[in-house]
Formats: sequence, C-alpha cells, structure tokens
Amino acid sequence: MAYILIVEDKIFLSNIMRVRLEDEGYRVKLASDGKEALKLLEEGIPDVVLLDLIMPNMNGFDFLAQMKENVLYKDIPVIVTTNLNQNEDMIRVKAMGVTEYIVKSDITMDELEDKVTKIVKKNTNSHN
Amino acid sequence: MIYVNAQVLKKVYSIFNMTIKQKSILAAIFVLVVSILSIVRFIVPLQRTLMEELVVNTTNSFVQKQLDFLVSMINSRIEYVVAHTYMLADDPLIAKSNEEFDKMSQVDIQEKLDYGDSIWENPEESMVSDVLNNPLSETLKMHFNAMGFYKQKYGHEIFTEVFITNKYGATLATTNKTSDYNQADEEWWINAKQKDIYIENIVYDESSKTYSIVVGSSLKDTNGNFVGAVKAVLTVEDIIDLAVMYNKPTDTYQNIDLLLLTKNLQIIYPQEKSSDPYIQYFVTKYGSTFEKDTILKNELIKDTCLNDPEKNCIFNYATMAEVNNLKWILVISRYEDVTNIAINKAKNISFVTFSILSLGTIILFSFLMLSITKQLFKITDTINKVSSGDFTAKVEISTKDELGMVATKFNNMLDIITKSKIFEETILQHIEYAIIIINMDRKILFINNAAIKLLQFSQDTNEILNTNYDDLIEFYKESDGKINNTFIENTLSGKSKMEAVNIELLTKKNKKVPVECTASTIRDKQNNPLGSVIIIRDITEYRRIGRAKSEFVSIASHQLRTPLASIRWYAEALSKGMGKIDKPTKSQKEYLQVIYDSTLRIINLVNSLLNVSRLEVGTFKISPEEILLHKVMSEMIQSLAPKIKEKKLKIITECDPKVPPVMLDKDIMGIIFQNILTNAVKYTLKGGTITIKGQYIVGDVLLKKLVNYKGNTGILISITDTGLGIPEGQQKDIFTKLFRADNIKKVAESGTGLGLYTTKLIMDNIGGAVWFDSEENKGSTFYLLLPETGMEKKDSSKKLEFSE
Repeated sequence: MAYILIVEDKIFLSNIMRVRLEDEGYRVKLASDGKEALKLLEEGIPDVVLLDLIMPNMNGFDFLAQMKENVLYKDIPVIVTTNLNQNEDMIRVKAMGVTEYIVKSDITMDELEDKVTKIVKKNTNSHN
Repeated sequence: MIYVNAQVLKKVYSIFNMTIKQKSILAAIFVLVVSILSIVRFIVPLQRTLMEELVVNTTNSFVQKQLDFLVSMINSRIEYVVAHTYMLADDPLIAKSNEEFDKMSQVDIQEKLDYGDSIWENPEESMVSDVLNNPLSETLKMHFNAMGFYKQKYGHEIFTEVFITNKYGATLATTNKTSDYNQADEEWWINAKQKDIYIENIVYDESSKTYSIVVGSSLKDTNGNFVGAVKAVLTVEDIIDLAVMYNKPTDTYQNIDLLLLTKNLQIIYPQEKSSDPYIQYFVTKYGSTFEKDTILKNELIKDTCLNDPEKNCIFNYATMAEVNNLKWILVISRYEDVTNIAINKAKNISFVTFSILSLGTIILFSFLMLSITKQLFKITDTINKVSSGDFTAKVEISTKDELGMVATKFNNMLDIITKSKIFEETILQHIEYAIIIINMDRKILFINNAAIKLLQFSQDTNEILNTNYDDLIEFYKESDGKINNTFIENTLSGKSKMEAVNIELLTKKNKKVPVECTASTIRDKQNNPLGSVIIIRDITEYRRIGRAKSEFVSIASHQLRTPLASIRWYAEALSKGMGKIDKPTKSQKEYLQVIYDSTLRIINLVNSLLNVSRLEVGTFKISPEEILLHKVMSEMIQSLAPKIKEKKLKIITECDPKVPPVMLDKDIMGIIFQNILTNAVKYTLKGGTITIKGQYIVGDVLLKKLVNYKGNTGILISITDTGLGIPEGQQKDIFTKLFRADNIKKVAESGTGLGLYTTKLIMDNIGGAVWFDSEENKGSTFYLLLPETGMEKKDSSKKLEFSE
C-alpha cells in the first residue's frame, strides 16, 4: 500500500485531499509545516510528497532544501501543490528536483489523484 | 525664330527677377541713354541752327552798322560841302561872272571856255591867277582847308579839291589847281545842274593814295535859279579807316574780312584792286546778286575761304540803300570755324551741364536707392532674426515714409506674434511632459523645461537648440540595449504618429529612465511635413504604481486561490460522495454543480485579471521557439473538442503550405487562439461552421498595420464563424476591458470580458495586430497578423496564465 505524505498548513485542504486519496486506497499522513514533515520522514519514506510552499515555521522551499540534502530522502517524488503561480517559484522548485508543479485552484481532485497514481505506478514499475 | 523669341522673353522676364538696386541702375542708365540720344538727335542740331542764326544776325547787324556808319559819316561830309556852298551862292563874284557871260553870245561863251581850257595850265595867265587868288577862292580855302587843320590832323586834306563854276561851267574859284577851266562838259557838272546834287562813287586815287568821292552840287539864288555849281573831292579814307578800326576783329569775329565794293563792283576797300581775289570772286560768282537792293540778311554763302583754301568760309554781304546816287555793298566773310567753335562751345557747355546734372541725379538717385535698400536690408535682417527664433528683434527705421510705415506695421505684427508665441511657449514650457520639436533637418527647434529636466541637461537651452536631436536623445529597450530612433525618423518620412513603449531614455548623467515616447509629424496647411513633435513621458512613477498594482493583484489572487480551491474540492467531494460522505441526491448534485461551476468562473476571472495586470504593465515572459502555427491551432481545437461536438459545429481549416515555422511563444499563442476560438465556439449556434485560415502574405498593405515592422512578409490567421456577430454600434468597444456585447450576454452568461482585451494587449505587446469584420446574426471574422520575424524574447519572472 503506497504511502502519501501531505504537507499543508490549511487543514481543510489537507483533509479533503486525504479523503480523496484514502478512497483510492492510499495510506495518507498529514504534516502542517516543514518541521513536522521532516519528523514524519524519519518514521517512514513516503511514495509521494504533496507539498505546499507557503507555510508557517518551515515553508516548502526550506523543507525541500533539507529533504534534498538527505541521501535517504532526496529521491522521494514531490508534487508541489501551491497557490503561487509565479514563474520564478516554479523555476525555483523545479530546479530543486520537484516532479510536478500544481496550482491547487486550477485542478480537480480527480486530476490530482491521477497525477499521484501515475507517479506511484511509475516508481513501482521502475522498482520492479 | 520661336527659340530666339523665347530667349528674348526670358531675358525680359529676368528683369522682374532683378533686385531693386539693379532695376534702379538700369532705369538710370535708360534715362541717361534717352537723354543723350535726344540731345544728339534734337538739341544739338537745334543749337547749331540757333547759333548759326545768331551768328548770321549778329554779322548782318554788324555789316549794317558798318554801312550805316560809313553812310552817316560820308553824308555829314557831303552835307558840310552843300551847306558851305549854299552860303556862297549869293557871292557877288558869281553874279558878276554870270552877268558877264549872259551878255555874250553862245559862240562867244564857247570860245571863252575853250580859251580858258587852253591857258589853264599856265598860272601866269591873269585869267588863271585871277581865279586862284580871288576872294571867293580864299573863302573856299578858308572853309575847306580850315587853315590846314585837317592836314594837321589826318596828314592830308579832307576836301582835296573844291571849286565853283558859274552857270555856264566856267571855273570861278578853287582851292587847288583843277584840271580844266570848262566844267560844263563834265559828267558831275551836267548831273549837278540837272539833279541839284551829284555824288560819284568812291575811287582810289593812285596819286594821293586816298579814297575819294566826288560831290557835285548846284548853286541857286534866292529865287531858285541855277547860278552855278560846286565840285568837292572828299577823302573818305579816314572814315573807312575809322570803320575798320572800330570794327576790329573780336573774339567772335576774329576772322572778319571787310570788303567794300561799289555797286559797279569797284573796290573801295582794301586797296589792292584788280588782283584782289575778292573782286574776282564776287564778279565771277555773285556779281548779279549785287544788283539787288535788298539786304541779304539770312542768306549764307558757304565756300572755300579766299585767303585760306583749306578752310570753309561763310559770306555775308549787305547793299547800302542809295545814298544820293551812291550804292555800296559791304561783304564780310568769316571762317565757318567761328560758328563751329561757338557751337562746339555751346555743345560743350550743354554736355558739361548735362553731365553734371546727370551725375548729380545719379548720385542723388543712388543715395536714395542706397537708403531705401539699407532700410529694406534692415527689414530682411529682422525677418532673418525672427525666422531663426529671435522674436525680440525689431526693425529700427525711424523715417516717416512708406518704409517707415512698413517697419511700424511689421513691428506691430511682430509684437502680436511674439505675444501669442510667448503664450504658446509658456503653455509648452509648463506641460509636464518632455516636449522636443525638431525640423526636417533633425535640428532641435524647441525644448521645454520638462525635457531638460528629464534629460538632466546642465547646458543652457540655447546650446541645445539647433543641435541634432540624435545626439541628445538615446533610447534603450529594457532587454536589447540601445535602439535606433527609427520611429521618430518615420514621422519625418511619411508616418503621422509613432509610438514607442517599454523603452528607457538615457539621461546625460547616464541614468536610464523608463519612458513612453510619441512622435507626431507637424504639417503646414498644404500638408507638407515641417518636422516632428517628440513627446516623452517619464513613466517611472506609472511603472511603480503598475508594479504595486500587479503585486497587489498577484498576492490577492494567491489569497483567493486557497478558499477557491477548498470550495472547488469540497463541492467535488460532496457531489461524488467521497470518503464517508453520503452520495448526494440528484437535486443536491445539481446545486453542488452550480457551486462548482461558479467557483471555476471565479478562478478563471482571477487568472485573467492576473494576466491583464501583467500585460498592462508589460512585464511578462516571452520565450519564443520555432513553432508551426497550425499545430498550435490543432491542439487548441482538440481541447475544445467536447464543446464542438456538443454543438455539432463544423470546423474547416485551410493552411497555406507556404506558412513557415515562426519564432513564437507557444503558450502565448495558445492564449490568443484560445480566446478567439472559445468565443467562436461559444457564440456560434448549433450546426454552425468555423473556418480557420492561415495565409503567408508578402508585401501586402495589411503589413502596414504592424507598427515598427520594416519587413514585407507576415502570417495572417483568420477565424470566421457563423455566430451571433457583433452589433454594429458596439464594434468599436469590442477590445475594451470588461466589455461584453449585449447580444451575447443573453446567450452565454459566463465570460469575463477580458478575452479580446487580453488578446489585443498581447498582440500590441508582441508587435502583431488583431482586428475583425462582423455583422450581427451572420458571424464574425477575427484576423491575427504576425510579422514573419515572430516575437522578441523577453525575460520576466511573470508568466501569462493559461485559463480554462
């Protein structure tokens, strides 16, 4: 069973994402900021991280930077789910090795699930 | 001939092109020539005639005077003789002799006379000595020799011979020894007896070397009876000498030849007679003329001078009216030169006078012309000053003539112009935009304070004026470095108004200021270009505000997205019954769908607003790559396929194979195509047709729609629908922000009113053009024109949003 880590400070958004992904059979854990997410990473390596960028305590950028520094975590696929649509933000995070960049309001839940599933499947296949 | 005439005409017309100075010189020369010609033609001959007449008249009167003098002198001498002998008529000796002769017979008288003649040569004879010494002879000597007075005075006697006869011709008394005793057979005696007085012609007496005249006079008693006769021989030489002396050649008559002739052509003066050429001359040539008694006043005889054959002489002569029975002719010849000298003198005087007058006139005229042209130069100088911009110039003419009036009027006009110019300049100076006016030679004619401030000039304005604007104004494009001033040059060569946006102006302190620049052609009333007005707007503040606005919109949209995303996702979750939520009922699902669709529209609106904000500031990324337009178009049609299918629309695409790949930003082209195509699909009724054409155009007039594009090839895309069309009255507003036509509002509620506005902004920004044809209820055709060079690359952190 694939494990999805959602890093999102707005609980009402992370909750609905969890509902949709759990419906699809994924194991979902929530973190409300980067620090919390880093702690959760120690407990287990997720198949996909859904990462918001603007968060209190530790924002998405900082989390990404620390995650990528760690050999154990650096290959975890990350889908940035944000409301920032500045070109520079997209360029910045893509340069940091992000798999997908999604503006939350521009996508349906089904589309989000579809993207997650595609990455999970792809990784499963490559492991096999 | 026509050619020659044309040449002549040309020359004549060229007179009108001459300056006033040249014209006046020409006029003066003309007047001079005419004067000289008229003098030569009329005045000189007239002068000559007048002079000749004057000379002739003078000469004639001179001649007449001479004669009058001679006549009066001789007359007085004759009168003297007559008067003195008149007294002697009663002398007893005469009466006694006559009584003695009366007693004798005719024969005896003749005998006595003959006897007297025969012994006359012998003074010893008592009869002879009786005559010579009787008291009457003594009286005669006393009267006529005047006791030697004349001899003393003149060196000879005046009355060389005076004697008296009785009435039979016998000599009674005498001053000198006479030739004959009997005078009765003498001509003078017969004439004197018959005519009372007889005067003979003057003769030159060789023996006495004098000019003499014989005067005979009858003696009568108190009863008037003839009692005897007196003969007197008078010398007139002294009179002639006197006449000659009194009428000596003068300056005028230095060549007078005085010649006295009797009417019998006997020479009286000068003395040389037979050999005298004058006599011969007159006798042979003009002898008959002297028979006339008239005075030939104005008759001139021109001939070779007698004493100088190399010269011509003019002869004047006058006959003396009969004095007793004496007729004289006086001839004067003078050299023709005299007349000529006089005429030449007159001619010279008139030439000198005329020359002085002409010269004076010309000098006066020149001074006048000089002063006039000087004044005119003052006026033209002022005009030059004014045209070079010095409106403080004044014409300084203080005279009160016409030029003074012109100057005053000109100055008044200048005042008015200056006032209105100052007013205009003041307005231009105080406009906050930088204004620079250039002429066709690219020289700066005007620059206002705002321009000087913007360009950070430290120089004096006057140093900037008349310099080339290119040296002062340098524009930079944000990414491309320095750009040339083609858009300004275009206004000098045909285009009326040019704009350059998103450029930076390099100031004199090497600071780059973001500006917008407009250049407009200045034209005169005949529409000829005179130059260009360059208006530069400093948009630093505008940019700042724009950025702040953009920033605000950006942040606001981010903030909006979070709740919008939750509404969207929760609506989605509810309608699908995710997780532990119950599946909604059919009506609940419909309600949820409305929430969902509305949320989507808000999201689209937020994205569009973000695009507009970026486009308006002009800060968005352009990443051109070589793309095939029909591929982009196909993808777009593909994305709209569900709706096309739903409305059963027919899509026709025609792409000219000549359309080459163009350097374009794929995403931006996608936004443009999406905006136009979405409208076409949305507003075309079921079963309608949408035709999409791609054309490659070369050298078409349409390319003029591309601002700042110098090439002559482009790509034209047209999208024609059979939809609702745009109401004619609203067509002009179709590209304005948030505008939606009335007829489409009824059909489709959704629509931001930003699609075509965005499209226009993008096309303007990338150097393309968009326009349309439309008829309500029939459809619309939208045209997109792109230069073949495509888009220019532009870096920015912002990217245009691609909305659904």
